[in-house]
Amino acid sequence: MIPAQTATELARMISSGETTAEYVIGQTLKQIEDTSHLHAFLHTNSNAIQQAKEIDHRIQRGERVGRLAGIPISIKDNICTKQYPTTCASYMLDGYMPPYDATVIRRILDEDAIIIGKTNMDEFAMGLSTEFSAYGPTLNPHNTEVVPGGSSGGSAVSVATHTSAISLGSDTGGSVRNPASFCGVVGFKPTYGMISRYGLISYANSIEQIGPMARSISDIQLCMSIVSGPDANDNTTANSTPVSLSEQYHTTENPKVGIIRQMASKDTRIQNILNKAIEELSSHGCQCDEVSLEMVDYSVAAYYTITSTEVASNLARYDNIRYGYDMDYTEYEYHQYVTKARARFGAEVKRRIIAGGFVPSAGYAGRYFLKALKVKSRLTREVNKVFEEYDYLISVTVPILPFRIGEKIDDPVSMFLVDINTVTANLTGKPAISVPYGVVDGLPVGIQIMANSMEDAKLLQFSHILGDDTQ
Amino acid sequence: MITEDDIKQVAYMMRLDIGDKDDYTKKVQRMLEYFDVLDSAGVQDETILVQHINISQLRADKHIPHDTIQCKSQDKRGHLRVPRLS
Repeated sequence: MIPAQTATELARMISSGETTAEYVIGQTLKQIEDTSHLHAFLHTNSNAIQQAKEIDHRIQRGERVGRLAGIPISIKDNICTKQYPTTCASYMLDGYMPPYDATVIRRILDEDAIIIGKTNMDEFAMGLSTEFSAYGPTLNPHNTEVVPGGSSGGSAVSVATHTSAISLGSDTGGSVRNPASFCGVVGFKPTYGMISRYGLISYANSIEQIGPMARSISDIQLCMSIVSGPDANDNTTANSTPVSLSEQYHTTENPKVGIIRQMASKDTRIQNILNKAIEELSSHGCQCDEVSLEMVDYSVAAYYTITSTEVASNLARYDNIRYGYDMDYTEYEYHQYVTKARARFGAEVKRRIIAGGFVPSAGYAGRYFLKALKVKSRLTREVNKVFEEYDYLISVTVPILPFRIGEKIDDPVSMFLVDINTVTANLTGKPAISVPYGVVDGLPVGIQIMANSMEDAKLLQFSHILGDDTQ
Repeated sequence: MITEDDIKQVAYMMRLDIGDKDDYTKKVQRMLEYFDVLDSAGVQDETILVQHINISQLRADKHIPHDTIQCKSQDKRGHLRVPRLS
């Protein structure tokens, strides 16, 4: 089936005339219909076939087309798209049409990609199971009784089920890598500042990044070569160098790989998959040793303290005046009106806003927020120190298997701890990739590799050792 | 220990209407209790890393024109009507 090909292969087939964009998009839309029970999409593009035909006409006329010509790409619903609703899977933004495209959207459209639809997610990206979407959960295609991971769960499912070749998600504490691991696809969180966040609806902007998901590492490289690099609308991208596809990055002959002790899984079946990956790296000449990052044990608490604080600040703008839905304003004074309008936030979002009101407040800041910033600083120093000696750090992406829908929904801390292996890359700003590497009980298990800041291209090149094909 | 009254007060300041206060109290308490693990991190003397960005490096603070946002509370001149401040 054509849509099962990687984006790199599809692009070659479409531009060479071996197939047409119209056929690829038609098959993809049919596949979306056939997998609709998984609830990966919140909106689909009703003009996709027309857009595909226009690309085919341009190819037939011999005109130059972009590197993503006719490729179906899905977009997490917290990335602004002018032509399609952007709801963050929240009733608060029900029907919201952004007045502009995010920078990443402009860049992929300039390369003639076709946005096939907007994907489901945890409301405002707060969650790691996609159970907190106001529009209902997404199901894991490998077993519909378990979660697909999150918060970019719809994106991971769309890539896994061939309803998009590439998806753009966002990763604040593992929201790209976690669902990539749970659904058996590749997910990449770039160095902070590598991809513009202009048009990404903010959750915790000091650490979040847009990141691609795909069925091969080559597709991640292709996507990164298009969306990465400086953007005048996002100052944090100022010093980033776009990922180049043509350049071969220098890697040491026998790279040193640190196995993070604190990220070991208690599930021996999962740990065995890590051991297998280590064996494979060793057989390619890597020197693999155990390393210790003491602050990992405190990273989840620091992460949630910092993100809750930023949530309370970032979501204060939802007063239903600047953003929101039509609600009659008569008979209310300002505070009542805003409070009534904000009732549309889901329970998890409200809990995090409340926690975010406490932790930086007078009397509590020293106990929570400032201490969390100190843990973040110490963790960054620890990781930087390890990178003086090691080229890469490795662990399993998630230390547990995908869990049953509803299993952790009432215990926020048990849910938080699923992030234990992924938040370090966010708190320290480092790039990290999840590559599918094994299966336990029919469920995929991903391996995470982290590199030093701005070594994204080198990391992607190195990751090919663990395999490029997720089919 | 964070009390139900504390939760109510913060929710009020955050302009949130919380129906089942018990559920919010228990879950937020549980979150904050977990955050207490930070006490044992031994980071009292750690210096917080900050990145200084010169204001001249920031994007110019100017209006970026976009298509007009459509909403019902818009009058003919394109102004938005909002609730009374009190």
